[in-house]
Amino acid sequence: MTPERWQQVKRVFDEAVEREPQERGGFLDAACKGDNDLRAEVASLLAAREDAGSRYDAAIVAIQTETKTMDGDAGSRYGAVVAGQTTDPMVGRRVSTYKIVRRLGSGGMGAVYLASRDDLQFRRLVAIKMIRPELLDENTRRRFDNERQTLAALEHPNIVKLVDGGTTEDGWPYLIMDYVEGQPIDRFVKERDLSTPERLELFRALCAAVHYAHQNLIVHRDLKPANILVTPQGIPKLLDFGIAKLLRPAFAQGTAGFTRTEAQPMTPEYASPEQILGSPITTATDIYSLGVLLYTLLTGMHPYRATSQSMHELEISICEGNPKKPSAALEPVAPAAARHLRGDLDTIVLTAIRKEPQRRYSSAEHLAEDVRRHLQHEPLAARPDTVWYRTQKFVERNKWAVATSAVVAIALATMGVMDRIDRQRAELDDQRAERRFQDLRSFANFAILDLDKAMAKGLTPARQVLAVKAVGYLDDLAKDLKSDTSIKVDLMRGYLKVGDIVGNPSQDDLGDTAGARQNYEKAVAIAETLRPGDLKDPDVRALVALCEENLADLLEPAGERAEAIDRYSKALEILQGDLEPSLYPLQKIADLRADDGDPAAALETSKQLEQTASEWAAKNPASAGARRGVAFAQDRSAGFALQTGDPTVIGGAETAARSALAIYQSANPTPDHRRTTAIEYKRLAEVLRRENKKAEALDDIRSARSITRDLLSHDQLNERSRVDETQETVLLIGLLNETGRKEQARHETAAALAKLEPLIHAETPNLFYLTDYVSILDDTLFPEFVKSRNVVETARKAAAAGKDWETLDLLARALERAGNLGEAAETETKALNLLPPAKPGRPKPENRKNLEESLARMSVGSAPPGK
Amino acid sequence: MSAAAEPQDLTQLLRRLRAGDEEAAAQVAAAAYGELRKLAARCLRRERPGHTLQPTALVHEAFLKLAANTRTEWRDRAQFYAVAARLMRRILVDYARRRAAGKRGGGHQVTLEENLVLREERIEDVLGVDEVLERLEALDPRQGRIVELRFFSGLTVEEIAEVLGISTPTVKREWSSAKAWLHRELSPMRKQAKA
Repeated sequence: MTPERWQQVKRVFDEAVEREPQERGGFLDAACKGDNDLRAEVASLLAAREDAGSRYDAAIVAIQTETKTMDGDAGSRYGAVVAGQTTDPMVGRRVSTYKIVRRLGSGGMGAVYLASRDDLQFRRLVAIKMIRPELLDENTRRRFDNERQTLAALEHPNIVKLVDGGTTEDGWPYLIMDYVEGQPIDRFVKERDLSTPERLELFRALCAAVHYAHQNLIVHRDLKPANILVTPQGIPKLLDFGIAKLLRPAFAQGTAGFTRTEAQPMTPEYASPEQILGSPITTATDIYSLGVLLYTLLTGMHPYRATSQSMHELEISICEGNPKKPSAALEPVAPAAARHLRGDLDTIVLTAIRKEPQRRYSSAEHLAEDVRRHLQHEPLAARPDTVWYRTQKFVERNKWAVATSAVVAIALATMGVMDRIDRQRAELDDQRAERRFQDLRSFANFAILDLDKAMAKGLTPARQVLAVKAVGYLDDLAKDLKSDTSIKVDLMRGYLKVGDIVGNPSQDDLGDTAGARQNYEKAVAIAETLRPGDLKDPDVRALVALCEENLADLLEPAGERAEAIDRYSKALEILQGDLEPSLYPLQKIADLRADDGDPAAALETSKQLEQTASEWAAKNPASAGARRGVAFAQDRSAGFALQTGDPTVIGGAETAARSALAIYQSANPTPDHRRTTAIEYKRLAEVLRRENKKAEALDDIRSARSITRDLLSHDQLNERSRVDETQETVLLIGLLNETGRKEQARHETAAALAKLEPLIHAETPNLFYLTDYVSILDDTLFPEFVKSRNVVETARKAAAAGKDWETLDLLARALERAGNLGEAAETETKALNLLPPAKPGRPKPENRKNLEESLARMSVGSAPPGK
Repeated sequence: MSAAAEPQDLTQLLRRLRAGDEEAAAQVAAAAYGELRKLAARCLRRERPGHTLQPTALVHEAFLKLAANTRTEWRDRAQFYAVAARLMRRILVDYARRRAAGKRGGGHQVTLEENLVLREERIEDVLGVDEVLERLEALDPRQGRIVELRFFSGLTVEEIAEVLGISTPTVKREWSSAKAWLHRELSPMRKQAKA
């Protein structure tokens, strides 16, 4: 079998599949037209299709994890303190309403016991901390009682609740708190082998608890893994909030130097420099400890421990040493994991553990917030504000959107200007340059931050937000314009982009044509200040030409055709034969010739265009863009061939359209490329329709529409895609009508009308919707759709808005259908008069032929006898 | 993995690949394979025992990983998926061959292959599809790619449409005829095998 034959087989197969099984035999007979091999081939595929069912649809393979036994939660139950002797005089004693069951652990300050209260229906377990009486003198004992009240008021899911406190009969102060079954956080993360994001989430919960306590003016002062238990359900619980202060009031007041005594329960590893130095303790102290904790959770190491052997050395390091970045610490052990820490996490940790309390995060909430930002790929607050850093983050987070939009291009172009001014700044001692730089910097920041929010609502609002801001900044910058070519070039780019965003009809625009024109004119004005020598650079040539072209683009629909041709020719001249940039003006000149009523001449220009494009593609064999250039030219040629109505060129049109389509299909699927593919499908459908290959045409217009619908589903506000979709539907309905697919035609017509109805009744309806609506009703096979609708009225609206031959022709046909032949003929005459004058000696274009025929038909019916 | 296959070179490699550089394809494949293996190993460690993953998840994640450290453009994605699909095909076929021959993949490392779960009857499909697919590729390269992406990489119709830049109806149509064709071409082979 040949590839061509296979395509044929597939076409018949696809059509057959669409039919009911009992109709397929008959269909194959008709479709294969006596080609028995073809029939047998398709029939065997159909049989195989039934037999195969969904055999190949399911994923072919699964990847299974190994069975492994998870080490149970066998860790210590309470804290990391060493389990003590089996006999303890406290065990069995009654404290408050609780009975001490066993000792959980002990430390410098005393011991912790498990106790229960079973005098009620239920059994409540608590932990009781007994504090060695000699740690508290009379003064501090009073404070202890006061502070206890405050601590008991702390209610947070991640803070272990202080239930009660007091002093036993024999003078032991005690604290009673909820008993938590869990593991110290460092062991928990290790044994569960938590991923970095999971560790960070755990850490964030802790920050929230610490922040809550800080809001209640309570500082923990002794945050360390032993004080943070994680329940088997993965909920972290902070222990001993504020207790360090209760126990060491003198230390807490900052009046005593730090001397390590036997009674000193502080864990130096997690102590902050100010704690070691005896400086005032604030909430920043806890931030520091959280930072060290995070360091440990991420690396399994302590920031200073590795390099400091003795306690003394450790204290010196904490106060004076420079900690290794977490990523650097982990690098030799686990290089892959270290990579994840590089950047954000290094920054977060190092910010939290800065030696100067005021330079740390200002609150635990801010610290948690930066961790969240990291997890969600947003820029950190802690990071120095480099533009590049923010851009990087923005692009990471909006990968898909960014790739598809011009929005970022302008932000980057603006930053380009900024960069250059930045460099100039070094040379010029110019305050204005400095100010501009600051302006642009804030603009760039805006572009990155605010745009991001706007992006969430789809691309169109983002563009709008950007455009308004951008113009202001560019104007300001242009005021101080110096003679530097590179800045001029960047400014031109900036204006061009803004113009595109607000109103270039060939982009997804906001529809502000006047605004676009102003921006393009500003760009052209700057271009005119360039020196002839500047045009030696082909990039500059291309840019200047682009300014001319964009302006011309706007002049053309404004009816200023002569000036448009002028500007396009000027662009061609500026380009001095540059292949690629010449394509566009060539194409526009061809278009204008067609508009001038000479599609045959346009076809010639378009062949020239194909030639230029092919030369360019030949020079760039690896360039997809160059291939698309060829496709583009082929598409124009196919279009002009259609307009000529000349049957001798239509075969060439099909070849051209197919070739163009193949090229577009092979392009990468950005929204713009996909739209182009949809347009080419539609073009091919139009050509096939003219060639009377209507079934094929149907297939292609369906493909076009499904691409457009998909594009629409990603950007609901995009008016352009909505117009595309409607126009594709009009052609689809036409083809369904012409091929006698009545049911589908009826269904599509009803759906399209229902969709269009609210749109045409808008205050200022889009002209395309009006004309599409009328077109559908003008050509429909189903009188019932026309009956209930005032087609003529809508057609009048369209004609009033369009004021061109096409809308007038639509109106004329609507009038004809309504039986008003006199006005129909009158209107059709007006339409004909709007066509460019017939060119003597040139072939008559298709539209003129059609209008003349319609007019003749209407006139015959309307002409009163004898006239 | 050779130095040339380090992730930061992915963009460069894909660019060369676009220019028709076959060696680049091998290097992209090596990078992709390395990443797939690493991901597989990680997933296997992290997931609960007995959990199953779809290879498509691996392919998606492998791309994101490889692309994360570079400014790989979005248009490179289609190219990457094509390579990854080819790779999954190779991995699966090698694996199915070994399984068919009653051997097991060696090595004490966690490799992707060791954890593949392929039901017996599908081994036949993998080897068969691989064999006849070459003929379909000659007839219709695009259709061949669709089969590769769908059958070997498990991409959905929508994902394939996105990767290849064609409409979903087209992918569905092409997949429908491709399936019929595959099945028809495989049927005699099955009969032979049983006889």
